[in-house]
Amino acid sequence: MTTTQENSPAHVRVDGRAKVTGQALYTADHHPPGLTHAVLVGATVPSGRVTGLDTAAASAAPGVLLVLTPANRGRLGQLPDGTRYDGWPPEARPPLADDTIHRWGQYIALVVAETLEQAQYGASLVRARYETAPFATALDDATVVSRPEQVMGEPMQISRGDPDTAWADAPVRLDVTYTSPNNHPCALEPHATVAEWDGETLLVHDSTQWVRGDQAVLSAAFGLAPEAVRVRAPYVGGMFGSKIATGSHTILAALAARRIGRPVKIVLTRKQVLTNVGHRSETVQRMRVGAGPDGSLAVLRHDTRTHAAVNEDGNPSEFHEPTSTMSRLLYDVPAYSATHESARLNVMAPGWMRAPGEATCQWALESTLDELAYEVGADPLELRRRNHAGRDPHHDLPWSSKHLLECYEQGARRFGWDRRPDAPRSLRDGPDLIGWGMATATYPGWRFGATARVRLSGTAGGPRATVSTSGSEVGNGAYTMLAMTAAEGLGLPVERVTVELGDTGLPPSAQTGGSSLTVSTAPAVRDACLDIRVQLARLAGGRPNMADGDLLAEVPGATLTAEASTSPLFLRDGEFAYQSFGAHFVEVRVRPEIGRIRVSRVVSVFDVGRVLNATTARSQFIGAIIFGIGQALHENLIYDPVHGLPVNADLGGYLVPVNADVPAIDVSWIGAPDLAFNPLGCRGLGEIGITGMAPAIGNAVFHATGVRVRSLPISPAELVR
Amino acid sequence: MRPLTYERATAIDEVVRRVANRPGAAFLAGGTTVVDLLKLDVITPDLLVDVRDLPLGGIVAEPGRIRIGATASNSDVAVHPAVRERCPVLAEALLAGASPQLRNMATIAGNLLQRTRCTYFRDGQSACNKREPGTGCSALNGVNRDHAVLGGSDDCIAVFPSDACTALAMLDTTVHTVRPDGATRVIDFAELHTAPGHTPHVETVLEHGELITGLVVEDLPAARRSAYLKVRDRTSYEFALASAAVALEITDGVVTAARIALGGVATRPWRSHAAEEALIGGPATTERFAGAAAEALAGARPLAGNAFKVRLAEQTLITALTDLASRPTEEPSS
Amino acid sequence: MTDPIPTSVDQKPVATQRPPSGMSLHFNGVRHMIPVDARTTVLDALREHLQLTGTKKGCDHGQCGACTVHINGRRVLACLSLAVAHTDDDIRTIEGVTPSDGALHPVQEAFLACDALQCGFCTPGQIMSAIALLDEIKTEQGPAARLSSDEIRERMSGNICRCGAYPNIVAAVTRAMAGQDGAR
Repeated sequence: MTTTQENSPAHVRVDGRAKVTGQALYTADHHPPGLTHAVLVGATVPSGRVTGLDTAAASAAPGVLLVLTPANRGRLGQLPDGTRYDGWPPEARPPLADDTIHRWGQYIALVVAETLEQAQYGASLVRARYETAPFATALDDATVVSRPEQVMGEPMQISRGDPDTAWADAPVRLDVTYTSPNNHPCALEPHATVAEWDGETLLVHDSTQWVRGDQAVLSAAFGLAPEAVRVRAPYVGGMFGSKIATGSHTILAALAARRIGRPVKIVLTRKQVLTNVGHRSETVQRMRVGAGPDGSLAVLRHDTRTHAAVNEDGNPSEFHEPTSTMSRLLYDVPAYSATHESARLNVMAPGWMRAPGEATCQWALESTLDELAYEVGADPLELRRRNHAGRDPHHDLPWSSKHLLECYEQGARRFGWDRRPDAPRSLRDGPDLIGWGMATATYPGWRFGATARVRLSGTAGGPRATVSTSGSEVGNGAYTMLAMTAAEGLGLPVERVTVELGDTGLPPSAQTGGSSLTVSTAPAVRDACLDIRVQLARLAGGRPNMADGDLLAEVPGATLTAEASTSPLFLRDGEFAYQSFGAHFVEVRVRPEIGRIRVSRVVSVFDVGRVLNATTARSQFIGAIIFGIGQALHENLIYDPVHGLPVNADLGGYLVPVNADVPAIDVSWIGAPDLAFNPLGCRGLGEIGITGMAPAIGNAVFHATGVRVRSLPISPAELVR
Repeated sequence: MRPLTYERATAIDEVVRRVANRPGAAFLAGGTTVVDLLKLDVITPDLLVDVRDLPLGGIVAEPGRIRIGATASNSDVAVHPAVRERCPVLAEALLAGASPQLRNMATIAGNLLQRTRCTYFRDGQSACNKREPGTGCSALNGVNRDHAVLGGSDDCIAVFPSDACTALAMLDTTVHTVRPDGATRVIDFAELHTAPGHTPHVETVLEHGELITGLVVEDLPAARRSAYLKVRDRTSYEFALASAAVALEITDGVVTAARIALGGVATRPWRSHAAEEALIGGPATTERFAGAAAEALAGARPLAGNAFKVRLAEQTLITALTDLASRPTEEPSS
Repeated sequence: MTDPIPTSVDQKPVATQRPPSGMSLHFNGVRHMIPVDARTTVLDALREHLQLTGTKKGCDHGQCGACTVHINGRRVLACLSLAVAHTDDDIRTIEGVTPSDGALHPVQEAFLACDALQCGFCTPGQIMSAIALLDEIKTEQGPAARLSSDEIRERMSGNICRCGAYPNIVAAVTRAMAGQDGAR
C-alpha cells in the first residue's frame, strides 16, 4: 500500500467502515427530539448601518418561532480574545452586536422555525434598509493600512545582517513581485451546530477542530463554568483551518436554543461558509534577491502586503497571513529583511488555511529562486543545494533533524530530473508543451500539547483498551494512529483498541491544527501505555519475564487506567529548531494555443520524522498536494471592488480541484525519526504537502512555455497567446 | 424558497393549460436549473407543473434526421448511437457539460432554457436587468471575467451557458412546441433565443405556457466529422470560458462545407456564418482557420475583465478546427 | 418506435392528480410518509424528515455531488430533486446499498481497502456515484467493460473531495471494476 522504501507500519483506517456505510455521524446528522432549524440572514451591503430591520413578515410566517436581531439578542459575556490560546471567537466583535455593517454577508438576523423549509422562507422575508458608507474590497482602495508587529508571537518586521549593503553589492539581483488571491479552506462539510440546553448546561454538537476552544468561547458567552458546556465533534467533515475559531453561528445557535427552550440546528449555506468563516488573505509579495554569479544567496528582502478586516484593528490576536516565516529560515542567506503591511478591507477577517503563511511564502520564494536559477544558468535543484541551510539562520539554532538533501536526491531520482533540458520549450508531446519544475516544501514542527487516557480492561474475550482524548478526527487518521500507538504500547491487536475523540468530556487536547494532533497526542498515549505496563508489572509480582499476553490475561474484569500529557512546543526551544522539509517535482502539459494546463505527474518526498501509519500519511500528503494544485490553477475567492460583494461564493465559482485535475501522485518519505521532537520521532504532516506545490507547478509552466506567470491562479487567461 | 404548489399530469394539453392559465406557473423537468434558482429566490413561481410524466422521453433516428423528445435526458442523448455517429459534436458537447449526475437529471429541452450563470443574476440582490428589468447591469462595471464578448448590450452581457446549444446552433435544428391554444409550432433553432438588447429578461420567443415537446436535428453530411472543444479553468464540472463546436467537410484538401458555433463567450447560442464562409472554398490551413476565427470575433466588445476571451475564443476555434482537420476522415469521433 | 414529438395535441381534458396531505417516498425499498411541502428536496426529506443522514449536503446547489443517490437506478443529485416529484420512484441511498448482514458492498470494500477517503463527508456520495458508474459502463459497453484511469477520473468528477482522496478513489473504482467478474 505504501510507496516508501522506509518500512512504516500501515493500517486500514479504523473509522473507515463507519464512513463508507454513512454511519459516521457528523454535526448536522444529529437530530435531538424537538429539534428546530435556524437560518442566518446576511447584510447585502459592504459597509454602513442598518437603519431599519423589518421582521414582521418573517415572524408571522408559518412555523417561525423566533427572529433574533441586535434589538432582541440580549447580553453576551465577554468573549476570549485569543491571546491566551484558550479559544478564539470568529471576530473581535460578537455576533449581532449592533447595527453597523462592516462587510457584505455579516449576519443581521437569525430565523428559527419548526422545519428547515420554513426557516429558509422566513429568512427570505427579513427586510433591511441600509445607510451605506464608503468601503474597500480591493487592496489598492484601502484607506487604513496596518503594520503588524507580530502574528502568533512571530515578529513580522525583521532584519538581520546588512540587507542594504548586501543588496547594493550583489552581482546578481532580481526584484520581482508575486501575488496570490484569496483562498478558502472550503471543507466539504459546511459549518454546522446543533445546540441543546438542559437547564443551565449546554450540549453542542459542532463542526469544530477544537472542542475545547468552543467550550471556552461558549462558557464565556453565556457566563457558565466550562464544565457546564459540553462540546462534541467525533467526526468533522474536513476543516483545513476554518474550524478553529468558534463560529458566530455556534454562539447564535446556543443563544436561540436557550431562548426557545428547544434544540436548534444551524447549517451554514455554502455561500455563508465562503464569506463568514475566514479565508486565506490575498498576498502581494515583493521579493528582492541578491546573489553571487553562481546563485549563492547574499540577501533576501521580502516585503508583503495582505489584507485584514476593517473592524479588527486593535484585536490583539489578529491574524495576518504570515508570509515571511519561512523565507527567513529556509535557505542560508546572510542578510535578510521582511516587512508586512495589511490593508483593512470590508471583508470577513482572514483566518488560517492549511499551511497559513507557509503556502503563500513558498509560492513567492520558490518561484523567485527558479527565476534566479535561469538568471545565473544553474539547474533549479542545484541552486537550492548550493543555498542549503545547515542550521536555522533566523533562530541561530541547529535543526533537530534535517534530511532535505536526501529528499532532493530521492525525488530527483524517482522523477528522472537528470534528463531535464535546461531551456524552456524544449519538451513536446504532440500538440502539448511539457515542462518540469520543482520546489522545496517546508513546515514547522509544532506540538500544542495533549492529555490522553488509556484504559485497559480484562473482558471475557481478552483485554481491550480504550484511548480517550478531546482532539478531533478531521480526516487526518487520528482514530487509526492512536489505536495503532496503543496497540503497539500494550501489545494488543489494533482491533482490540477503541479510540474516543472529539468531546470536551474527554482528557484535554489542544486543537486539531498546525499538523499537531497526532504528534501531540500519540506520545501521550505511548506514555500512558508505559504506565499501564508498569502497573501490569506490579500485578505480575516477581515474574518479570512473563509474556505480555499472559500478563494481560491476569486481569480478568480488572481495569487499569493511566493518563499522560505532552507539553506545547512552538518551532524551537533552547536547543533546536524543529522543521519539516520536502521536495516536489512536477510535470505539466500545456496546450499553448488555448492555455490549457494539466498537471500530469507529481513526485514528492518528505522529511517529517517517523511516519506512524503509511496508509493515512500517504493520503494526507496527497490531499495537501491536491490543495497545492488548487492553489496553483483554480482557487480564487473574488470580491467585487465596485459593488463590494463576493462574486463567486459557491462551489461552481470558487473552483477546487476535481478528480480529473489530479494525476497519479508518487509520494514517499525519508522516515528518519526526530527523537528530539518527541519520543515517537514523528513531526506533523498534514500541511507540508501544499507548501511548494504552487511554485513547482508555476516553474513547470515556465519550463513548458517560457511564460512566467507571477499571479495565481495560473489560468488559460494568463497563458493564451 | 417561497411556498408553492406542485402538480403533474400525463397529457400535454393539460400541463400547457395549467401553466398558461396562471402567470406565476412554470414547467418543471429535470430541475437542475429550476430548483437551483428557486432556492436562490431568483425565480418565484407559485406553481410548478411537472412535465416528466408526458410521453416525450424518446429518441428516434430516422433516415435524414434524429427526433429527440423534450424530456430525453442529456445522458441518453449523449450516448445515443445515432447522435454519436451523425453529429458527434452534440454528444461531445453534452458530455463536456456538468457532471454525470446532472446529465442524468437534465433534459434536452431544459437545456435550451438554461439560465445564465452571471453572478449578479444569481445573487438575487444586485442590480440586474435580466432578473429585475430596469435596475441596471452590475456586470458592466463589476467583475466580468466570465461575461460575454459577443451579443451583449448596454443592458446585459450575461453568457448563455449551454454546451449542447452551442452544438445545436451549428447543426440544422428545429424546436417543436405546443402553444397555449393547443396549436403546435416549429421554430428554427436560430430563432429560439433572443438577443438581450434592451429586454434581457426576455430570453426566447416562447410564450408563457408554451411547451417544448422536442427537437429535430436534420442530418448534415459535414456533421459526421464534427467536434466540440471546451476551455475552462479546471478539467471538468465547470462552465466554459470559451468553446467551439465545429464541423468540416474537406474534399481534396479544400473545405467544401463548414459549420461553426462558439460557446462561453456570447449572450445566446452563437453560430458564425461569417467564419463558415471564410473557410468554404479554400484549403484547410491554419492561416485560413485564423482568418475564420478573426471573422467570428470581429464584432466582439470586450470589457476589462473578459478581454482575454476574444483571443481565447479565436484560439479555441482555431485549435478545434486544426484538430478536426487532422482527424482521419471516416472515423467518427466518440 | 413511436415518435417522441407529437405533431398534434389531443384536447381531451385529463383528471387532475393532486397530491394527498402526506407524501409517500420509497427509500431503499421501504415506504416513508412525510408531510407535504412542495419545497422539500429529496435530500432534506432524507436528512431532516426521516433522519436517514448518510446522504450529505455539501452545497445544496448541484455543485459538489455529496448528495448523490440513485433514483430508479441512475445517479442523481438529491439536493436538486423535489421530493414531491419522486413519490412514485425508487430511491436508493448509502444506507440501502450496505448489506444488512454486516458485510460491505464491493465498492465500499474497495474504498476502505484503497483508503479512498479521509474526512468521510463526501464518501457516501462518492460510493453511490461509483456504484452507478460501474452499472453505466456495463450498459454502455457490456459486462467486460473496462475504463482507463483518465476515464474514471472524468466520470467521477461530479463528486468533489476537498481532502483530496482522488487518486485512491480512482484506485478503488479500478479495484471494484476488476472485482466484478473475479478478474482481480
